[in-house]
Amino acid sequence: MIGEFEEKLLMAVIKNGDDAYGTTIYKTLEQWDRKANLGSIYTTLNRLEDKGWVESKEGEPTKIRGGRRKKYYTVTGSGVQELNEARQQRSTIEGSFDWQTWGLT
Amino acid sequence: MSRFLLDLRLAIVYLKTHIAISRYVLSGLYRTMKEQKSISEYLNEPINVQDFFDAEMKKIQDSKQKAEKKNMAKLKIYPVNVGPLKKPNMATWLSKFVLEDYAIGDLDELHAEWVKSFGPRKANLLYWKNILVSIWPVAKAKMISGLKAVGLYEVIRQLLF
Repeated sequence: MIGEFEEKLLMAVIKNGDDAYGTTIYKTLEQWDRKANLGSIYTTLNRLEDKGWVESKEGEPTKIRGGRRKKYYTVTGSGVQELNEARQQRSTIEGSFDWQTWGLT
Repeated sequence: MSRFLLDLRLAIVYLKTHIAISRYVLSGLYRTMKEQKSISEYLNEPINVQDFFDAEMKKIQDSKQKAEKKNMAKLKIYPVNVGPLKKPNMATWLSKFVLEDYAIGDLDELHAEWVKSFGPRKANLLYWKNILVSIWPVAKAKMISGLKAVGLYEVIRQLLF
């Protein structure tokens, strides 16, 4: 079972493609109005890595980062599968839900 | 006798005046000669337009910088790295205990962008805020994994919840 934040993180990693690291993921989440701090982003990404849904590799150190390396993330096949399952599950629930009965449109 | 003394006094005055006039004329001549010499030296020197232009530009820049400093002091605008919170070296040092190296690098990168868009004061404030809020989830995750490794996590969970 995938959580809401985990799902958005996976989507942000996929959206940024080869340039998916802390800062770009942070900015993408900010664009989607899902503000999160870098600590929770990295904790969740580590958890996703343990689950085998994302992979990481270290980049080159840059001057603007004070000589610190970037950590690039990519979504694995099982990660994409999880995302698809979550999407299907959501569409099934939304399809079976009678919105008008509950006064929702 | 008195006539002789008067003549002597007149002669002294006359001499003094002559000496003063000659001194004045000689000094004037000397000054003119000096000026002429410096002009001739100046004219003989090859004129470097680039050096002259650079010197003038430097003068203009110096005066501009002085004016800017004066205005900044009036408006209380702080240059980069000088603000009420200073450069967040302390925050970086603090976060080293908990945050990973790449997370601090990300924050440094974001800080540079914040300085450009919000100015150094707000950038430093955002940096501090992010450090403080980032420490908690990482520390929590580390604590949970540590407790799990020792086998105390489930015990504490059952006791608390």
